[in-house]
Amino acid sequence: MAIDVKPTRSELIKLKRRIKLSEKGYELLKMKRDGLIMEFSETLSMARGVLEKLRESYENAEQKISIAKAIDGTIMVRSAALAAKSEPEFELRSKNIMGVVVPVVKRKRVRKKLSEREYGIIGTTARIDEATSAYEELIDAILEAAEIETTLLRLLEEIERTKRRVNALEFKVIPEMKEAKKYIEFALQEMERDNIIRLKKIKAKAEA
Amino acid sequence: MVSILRRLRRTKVRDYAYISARVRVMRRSLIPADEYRKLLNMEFNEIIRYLEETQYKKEIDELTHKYSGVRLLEYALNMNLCATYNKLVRISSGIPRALVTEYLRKWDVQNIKSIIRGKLFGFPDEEIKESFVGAGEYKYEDLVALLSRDTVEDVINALQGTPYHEILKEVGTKPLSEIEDELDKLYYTRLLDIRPESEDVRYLLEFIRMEVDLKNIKTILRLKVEDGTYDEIMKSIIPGGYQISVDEARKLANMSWDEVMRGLESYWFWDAISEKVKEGAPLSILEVYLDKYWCNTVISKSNHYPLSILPVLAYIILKKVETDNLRIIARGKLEGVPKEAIEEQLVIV
Amino acid sequence: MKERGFRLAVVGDQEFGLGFRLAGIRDIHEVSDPAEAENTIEKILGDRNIGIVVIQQNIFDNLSVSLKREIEERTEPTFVKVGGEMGVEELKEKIRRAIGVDLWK
Repeated sequence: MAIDVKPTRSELIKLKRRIKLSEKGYELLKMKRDGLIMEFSETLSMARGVLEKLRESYENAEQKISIAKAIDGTIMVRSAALAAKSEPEFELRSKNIMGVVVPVVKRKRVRKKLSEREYGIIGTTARIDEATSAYEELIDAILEAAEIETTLLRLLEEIERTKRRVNALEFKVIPEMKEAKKYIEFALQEMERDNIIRLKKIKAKAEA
Repeated sequence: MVSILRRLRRTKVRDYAYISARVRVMRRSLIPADEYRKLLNMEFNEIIRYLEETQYKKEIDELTHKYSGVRLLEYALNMNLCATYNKLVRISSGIPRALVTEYLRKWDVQNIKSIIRGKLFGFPDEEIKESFVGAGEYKYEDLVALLSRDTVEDVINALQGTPYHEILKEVGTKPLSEIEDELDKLYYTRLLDIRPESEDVRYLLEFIRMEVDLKNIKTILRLKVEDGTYDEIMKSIIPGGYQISVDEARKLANMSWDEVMRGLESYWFWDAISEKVKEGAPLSILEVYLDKYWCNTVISKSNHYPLSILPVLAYIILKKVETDNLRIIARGKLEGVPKEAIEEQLVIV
Repeated sequence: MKERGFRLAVVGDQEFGLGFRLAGIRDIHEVSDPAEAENTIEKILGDRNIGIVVIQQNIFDNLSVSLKREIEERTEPTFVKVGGEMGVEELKEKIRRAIGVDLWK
């Protein structure tokens, strides 16, 4: 360990202040880390529900489109898909969890203009309508899954980063500063002893 | 005078006696209700094998060297439906034949829609052909000839002189959805224009009016669920309904969803859907219940008037329902739809 | 880092894309083999307007190990696996790698 400090009294005072500060920071970071982990496990338990909902939405959407293909015909379903004009609109917001920023994408619920419906209503059945809305619901479930997955990953990154900083403070920064403090204290003591000896010698000389 | 009337009546009775007897026999080869339970438990290939032992054998055998899977099945179902309807026309004569022919024009509209749509969206001819049910005025070969025209405009030009041409002229300027609805409206308007000269024509007209009611109420519900406006709804209303006339539709189109739901109670088909409405079932389920009720209504009416056009119309509907059921089961099975979800979509009477 | 756009892209076989198309999504990539899938995904990774990629699970499963790894390690764009396990396994694995314990169960 290379300690590159000047063994002076003022340096010692500075160092003591820095150790105190680091120890305080260490405690705070530990609290942040624990908070993040708690947030993470809460999000994780929500993720299970979100992924379950995603699975259900997908199954439902697949079933609905199968039935629509059977009754309204594949030409109808596929051409309606090719012609679909009303692209869903998304809006972007973000949420902040303990300093972790996560983008939140939501599908805007706008009334579809029926003039944009690309199939006659009299010759088709509600199956094709329901297949379309089942896929819109699936998109909502996908957006939610994406949000929660991003949240989990960003929380993980932040936990990692915080852990590294906690570890660095605990095992490197603070021990090194304490080492330095010990060194300065030792050096100052040494100097003091030297001074005393020197003083004694001078005194002895003078008395001699 | 009296003798002429009697002779006319006798002729008609004879026409109906023959076709009714034939239809009675044909109805026996429809798949019985309890067989659907078996089909629901089968795998896709077992369903094909099962159908090879039924009246679908001929079509499956013919197509099996060229097609497989769901394409084989859907093509075979369409071919069989077509053959069955054409047979119905062949074995009937006189007024019943004329009425059945008029009713089956439904398929002309359907096939023309497929050609226009298929061509506009660049579907391969092969695939469009598979969707044909050449049971109207245009037989399979006519439709293939129509399809072989190079462009959509060529197809439309070839239809010059038909009532469809007037509507199809607007392809490209009007949304396709509107054109399709207008073709369907034209079909019903033409049917309802037949003068009710005799009792049997009146049976047909009453039957059509009820069918129009069902179409109209489905339209209203489907568009209401998507917050359709009054104008959007009225554009797709077929005139001439039995209870849901244009005026009645106007009233419904102006109502809120809840008001429409309460309003349903006064119509002839309310009993069929009352429970499902209270459960808040999706529209596709209400449609299934309406169709079931429609089948039962037609069957019971045809039992009251066995020597009329009604037994023939009942058969036409039941046959269509059967092919739809088979399509739902087969596709559902192939694509892993759970049994219960398939079953609730079937119209079993 | 600047946030990505939030357009949604879909990668899957022809039948997979159909319903999304019906719902109006335009960024649909129909792929029929793993090589095509990999090319498509490389392109998507380079498109900063795409924030979310919906990928059919079995298409994902057949990607090369390195591409799968790349997808897993990026938070942008977010890949959502649909069909099959819905990415549950991948998520578990990521968590296991990151914090060393299986917090899922």
